[in-house]
Amino acid sequence: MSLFAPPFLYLFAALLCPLLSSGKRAMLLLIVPILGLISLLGYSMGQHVVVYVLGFELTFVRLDKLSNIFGIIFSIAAFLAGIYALHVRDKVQQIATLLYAGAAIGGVLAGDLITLFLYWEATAVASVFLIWARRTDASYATGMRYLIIQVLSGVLLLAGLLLHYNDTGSIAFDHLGLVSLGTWLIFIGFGIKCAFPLLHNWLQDAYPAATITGTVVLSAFTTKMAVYALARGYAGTEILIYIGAIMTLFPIFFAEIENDLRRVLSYSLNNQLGFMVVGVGVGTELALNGTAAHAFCHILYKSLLFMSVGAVLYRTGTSKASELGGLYKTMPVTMVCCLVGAASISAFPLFSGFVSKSLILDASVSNGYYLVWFALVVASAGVLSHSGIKIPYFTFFAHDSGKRPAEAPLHMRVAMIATAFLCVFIGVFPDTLYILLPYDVDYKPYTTSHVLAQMQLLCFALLAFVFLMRKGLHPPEVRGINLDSDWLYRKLAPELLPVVASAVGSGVTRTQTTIKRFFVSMTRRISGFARPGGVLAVSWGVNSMVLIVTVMMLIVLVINLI
Amino acid sequence: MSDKDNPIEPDQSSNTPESVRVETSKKALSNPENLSVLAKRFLWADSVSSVNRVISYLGILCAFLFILDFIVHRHAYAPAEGLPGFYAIVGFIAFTFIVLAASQLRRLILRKENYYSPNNVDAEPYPEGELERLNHALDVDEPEYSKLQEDTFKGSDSDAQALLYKDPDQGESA
Repeated sequence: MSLFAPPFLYLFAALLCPLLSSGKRAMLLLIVPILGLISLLGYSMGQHVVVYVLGFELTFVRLDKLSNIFGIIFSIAAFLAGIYALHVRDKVQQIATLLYAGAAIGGVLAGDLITLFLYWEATAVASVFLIWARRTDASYATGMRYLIIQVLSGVLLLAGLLLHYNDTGSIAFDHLGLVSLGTWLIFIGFGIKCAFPLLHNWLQDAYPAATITGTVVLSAFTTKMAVYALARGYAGTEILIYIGAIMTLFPIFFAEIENDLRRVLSYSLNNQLGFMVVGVGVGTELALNGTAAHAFCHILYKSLLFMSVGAVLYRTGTSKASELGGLYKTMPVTMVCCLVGAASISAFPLFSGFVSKSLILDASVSNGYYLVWFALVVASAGVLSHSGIKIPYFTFFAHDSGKRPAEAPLHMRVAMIATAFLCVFIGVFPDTLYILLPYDVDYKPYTTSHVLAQMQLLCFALLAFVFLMRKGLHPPEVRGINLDSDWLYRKLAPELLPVVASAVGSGVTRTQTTIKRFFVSMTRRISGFARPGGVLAVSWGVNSMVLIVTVMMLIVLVINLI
Repeated sequence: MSDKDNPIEPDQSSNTPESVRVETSKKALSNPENLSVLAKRFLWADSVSSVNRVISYLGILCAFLFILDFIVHRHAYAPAEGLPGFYAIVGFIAFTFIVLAASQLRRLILRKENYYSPNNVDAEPYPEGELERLNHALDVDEPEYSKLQEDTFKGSDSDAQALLYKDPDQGESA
């Protein structure tokens, strides 16, 4: 049975890939997620698959309700991405997708830190090929930056796990908490992959550089695996509430002025992760349910948005808002799917975001975090601005770009319609999602208060959009990039390094010559004492000798007495 | 479609198949009958009066929701949340603040696309090999289109292919 554990299925399929024709490989990308899901559902709750390696008990499968929901949504995401990528004939991308999805599922099923570390690094190494598959020099450089940061996250996890093992003698991956240096290092390792503020820039840098299908795959796994890891190890850690609140707010401003729509979605992804991190930080059953539910819905609608922007890129060759507009006439199916994704992420009632985000908002307010709750409400209006309005409006409506691309190919439309259907289905029948949640909580999202509050927030935000557009205050879409914290290591450090290096170098030489000069002059002065005519070279009288000896003996005596 | 209106690919001469296709499809699309059923339902987006009508619907909806706040009891947990119009005011002000603050932020951090070149993808075109550019006009049975095609390319198969799949190298040589 353990051989057919989901992550191994993906690995075997990836090994099989080189032997198959390109069309069969594309089919494999569809079949393997289904088999993986069947295998996952075949395990019973609480079941562990343990392998003994070098005296360690490695738990390759640990199925409980928390890992179950992540395993299910990862399988669904892999399947939908498989449909979307049916046209791809690139062996590298197909193998990387299989390995990456398998590693991410392995990561959420891992029951100990060593297994987690293995899959943690595997996701990094497998996913970078989805960026390199673009096969340009720029994507190579971007992939390298991505890989360095991802591997750094893994190294921190490894260092933390060694310290933690040294402290406790356990490699079990259960609740860790911020109790020692080891757990802090693991926390930061998780934080990098979860795109904490200031550790976030790898995401916005790398995701828009991947291939069209690669970005859809990338958006689903890495960050949500990190959310799962935080939920498992650091539930109820208060600092996460504030980290999460900042994460929901700051990407909004960057998303609002970003031109590349795939980067807008990356910032928006970062903002959505913030909601999940707040849920982990609050740590109650309701909050953790909210995190799991939001991760589930988020993977679907974020994939959907990346798919629709990807379809536009596939047909027009650009995903920049300044170059697009008016595409609804010829890509209506893509446009409607994009609108469904936009409504879902904005959490309109009857769409999936509404039934998951409410859990987190309720959890934060019922635990007395009013300021954080208010930040989340403001962030919800912000989500509408960049994902709900900006993405569909500037792509499919706004000013006519004159582009008349054909509708997305059939398989892409099928993938988008299926994803859009799931978004609406979960929104209309939230109980189908709620039964998968880690804890049994009776929650009703569709109360008058909830629906009214959310509709007021969104409709008045829409009204504000109309007002700003009419007044010409909405920032126009212009070509260009925006600086973010990656400026520190992409511009400042490389430019500062030669200056610092030469300054340090010349400083070192200067110090060396000063020291040398000092010693030379000292030697000369000391040797001067013994030269003819020097103090030591004159002949001394017996009297003065005796006096000196007596004084010296007296000093010794005094020192001894003390 | 002249190049002035289309600043994306300035290197295209006005005789390339792309511009012909765009021209053709624009003509084809000037007749709404050529649009798909789904797209026709959104044609109001192009008419100023219809957009104004939709906006007035939105205004009515907002007014209705605002009044509803005074009638229906909305359950409140946080302080001030229970005040009538709380979400309406927060939604409007938060959205306005975010947009205005973001435009100020842009003044600080906007740079040219090639700022990080050659190490960023923003300044490079997406590799054509990964794309399948296709024009809408080909989905439409448009006699004018085939005439244009014949005029421009004297109708060989490879030229038709060049129309179907836009290849920049072929496009420039044609």
